[in-house]
Amino acid sequence: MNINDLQKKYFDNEITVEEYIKEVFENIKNNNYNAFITLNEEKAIEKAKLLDKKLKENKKVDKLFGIPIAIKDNILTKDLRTTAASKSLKNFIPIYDADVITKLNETDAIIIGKTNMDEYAMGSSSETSYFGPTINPFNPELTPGGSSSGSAAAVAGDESVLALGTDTGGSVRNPADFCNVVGFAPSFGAISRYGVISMSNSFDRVGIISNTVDDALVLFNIIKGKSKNDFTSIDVEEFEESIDLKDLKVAKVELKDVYDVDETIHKRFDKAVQKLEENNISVDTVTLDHLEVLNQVYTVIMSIEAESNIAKIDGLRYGESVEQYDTTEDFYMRNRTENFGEEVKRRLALGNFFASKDNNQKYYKKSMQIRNKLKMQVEDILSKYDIILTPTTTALPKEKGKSTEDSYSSFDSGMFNIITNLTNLPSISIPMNESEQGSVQLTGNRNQDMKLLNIAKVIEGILK
Amino acid sequence: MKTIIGLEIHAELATKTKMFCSCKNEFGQAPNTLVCPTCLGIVGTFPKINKNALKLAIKAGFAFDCEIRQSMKFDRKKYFYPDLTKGFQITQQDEPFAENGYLEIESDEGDKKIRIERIHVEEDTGKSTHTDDGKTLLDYNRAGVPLIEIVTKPDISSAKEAKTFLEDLRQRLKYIGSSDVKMEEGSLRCDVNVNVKDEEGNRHAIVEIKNLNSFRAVERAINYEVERQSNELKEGITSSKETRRWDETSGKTILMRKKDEENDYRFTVESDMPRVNLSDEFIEEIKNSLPELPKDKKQRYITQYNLNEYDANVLSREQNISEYFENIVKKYNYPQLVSNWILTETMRRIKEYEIEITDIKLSDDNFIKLLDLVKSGKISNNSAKKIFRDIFDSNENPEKIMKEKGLEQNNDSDFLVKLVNEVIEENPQSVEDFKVGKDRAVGFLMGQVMKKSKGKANPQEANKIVREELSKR
Repeated sequence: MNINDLQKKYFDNEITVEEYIKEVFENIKNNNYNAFITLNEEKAIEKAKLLDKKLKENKKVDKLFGIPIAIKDNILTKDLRTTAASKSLKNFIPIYDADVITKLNETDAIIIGKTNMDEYAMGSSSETSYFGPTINPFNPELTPGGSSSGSAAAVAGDESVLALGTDTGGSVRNPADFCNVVGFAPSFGAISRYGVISMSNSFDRVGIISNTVDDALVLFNIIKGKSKNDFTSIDVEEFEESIDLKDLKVAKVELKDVYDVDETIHKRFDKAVQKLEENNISVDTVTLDHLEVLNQVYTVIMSIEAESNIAKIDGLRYGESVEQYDTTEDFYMRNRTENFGEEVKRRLALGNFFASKDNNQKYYKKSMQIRNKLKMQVEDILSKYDIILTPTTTALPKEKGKSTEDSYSSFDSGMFNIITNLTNLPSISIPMNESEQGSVQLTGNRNQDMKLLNIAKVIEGILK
Repeated sequence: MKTIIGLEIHAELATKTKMFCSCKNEFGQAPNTLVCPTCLGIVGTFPKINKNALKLAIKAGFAFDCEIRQSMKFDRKKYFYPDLTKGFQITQQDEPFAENGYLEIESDEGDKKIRIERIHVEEDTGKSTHTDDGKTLLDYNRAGVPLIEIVTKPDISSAKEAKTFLEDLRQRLKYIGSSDVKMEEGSLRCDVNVNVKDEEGNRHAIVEIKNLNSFRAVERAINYEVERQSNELKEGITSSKETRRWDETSGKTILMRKKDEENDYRFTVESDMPRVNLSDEFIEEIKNSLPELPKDKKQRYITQYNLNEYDANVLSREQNISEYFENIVKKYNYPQLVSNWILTETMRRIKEYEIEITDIKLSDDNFIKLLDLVKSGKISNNSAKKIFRDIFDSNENPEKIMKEKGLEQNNDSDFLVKLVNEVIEENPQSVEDFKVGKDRAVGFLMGQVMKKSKGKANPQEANKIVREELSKR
């Protein structure tokens, strides 16, 4: 279901908002995808009734009229439990709304609930969630990806039309790819992060998961923009032109053997490129340096930042805390030992190691250098091309339950995701085919999110 | 034995709101009433920079002649403590906003420059209160209040110098309006780094002293530590870097931890706040808003008022005193006379009463009236000093006191001629002496004249008449 089709049904009196929203909650209960951690059922139905009344009275409605939206559970919702899928916040009721929620509450959209995810967005399988893994509606035997697994599953499983996720190293695009829906991670700062629990704060961005590029564009237009609550937020450039296929310049990144690209993915990707070329789009091949070390660079910076961002979760002012302890130090130790999962602890330990003064922070410093070099190289390519084209993920989704065996491997197959987080660029993942899994990732120039989305719309049309 | 001291001073900036959120920055409010999600470290919040805090900080940078960094970043200093809400403090690690300044103090060896290595901005922590039954209460009203940390070079060589430096620094911060500098409210705090070195160059390891709640505590702690370290050095005990705590009751420093047990703060960039770039206009505006600094004032006193260097120095050093001085001179334009009186009589009283110059009872008008009586020769300097003592307490009209006590100087020449002749008659020997050129006869006769007039004769006039009358004989 997409926005247009659903609203047509509302406007043609085929179904009321209340009926549809109730249907959504029925789906959630019947599907058992475990896509949600907390439902907003009562308030959602209440709002649906109001919207039906509004429509009946011929009052003005907006672009998100009656559209259900699922919110990743690391985005704060006032009075609605927000857990980040962690035991440490399992009873945390926020006292304020994230900027994106404030904006959504001003529209006719309906918040369905809070979606499942990897704990504190650390992981790409949902298997680190305190609330158990999410099922992939596209193929229940395979992992749904992550960390925004619940958001992707909700959209793929007709449990919502739109969903918000967060993307730190592919956390929107990876599950979108694995559940075969659209995943958009905008330029760093394009959507205010205020009220979003930080994972790695120089990489984090709020992203959108939807069934179509057009739906992502509608939602992005409403929630984008600079906020006084987030100093890193920006206003992206507007884009009014129409896209002419002949003028479109696409840079395809050479898929070398060293990157370990799955053969099936490779074939599907080549087929997608062929389709583009058949439509008179010129596709050049470019190479990128440092790809083989990106995983390490990302891991160093991400773990250092994550460690300091999660440091505030100490159980003292809010969050779970133990009753029995000896000293203040013991209090911290027990709270954090008992209420964090293994993957979170692993990253905190890594972050502590990489930031320690003992090695003069040499890994941190080196990583920052490579990050800058990579930025320059990618910017150079994007000064000559409109978009950079890659597969979204270089491996097929694993069988469920197998992801935690090697937490590094998902970074490796997500190296094209990581690039855009390292370089602050906007990026979108679009399914190559409705019936089989596998997506292309389009990366645009910084702050040119609107242009990227418009190009993505065209390419989406060609691939279908 | 030589003493080497460096100071680290934390001063809260006198802003209306906190450093990274819009909560009020006020002292003494009910606990945890000046807080919000940001300063409480709730997930999802980000720092917003307080421009006014930067202004006050940079003002301090200029006031200590520092170089100001126009582009700066902030860092995260990580450690766990209940009064720290985010698990890290936002500070400036390797890019302090101000560097390489100094403050000149008066020391036993004359004027001395104490170099300031760096000044950086950071946020304050909350406050822990430990109760008698072993509980700890936390108040986060102070969490996120803007601070500057001023770090000196180890240029201070005694407890007395340290105290003078702190007093002058405090005065300066208050004068430019950057901080309230109230130690009792914790808006000024100081840590001391001290070690001693003997004649052969053997050094005791540097010791950091914390928990110093007054300048007196700083002075006492340094003196204690110097003695303790000197004894260790003499006895050949090997020392290592450590942090000690000043215990007011026992008057001793107590070991807190050895330096190698210290936290690794794992500094990293605070990327929630982009690099702050200050425009030339912003910097210029701050520079222009700075009040005249003591060294510039001193120069102006010398050129504008023709004061000698010593007077100009003392008058310009303290804001209250220079304001008082300039106020009087504005109404009574005899700067050197005014200066002479302030620096002797007024200062003596203030010190004796232990009050501020702003608290004195004597009105400017009555003070000026007294100065004018001296200037016009109506009273002698000595009589004026007597009157000053009275009116300093009572603020009465000095002319009234002069008349009541009969201290008016006599300028009437008829009276003086009569008096002088009487004295000459009574001392014929003096006439002889004067005639043979013994000038001291004049002095002797003058003494008699003053004695006979009970000090009321104008000495200058009387001297002239004595000489005239003697010549006539």
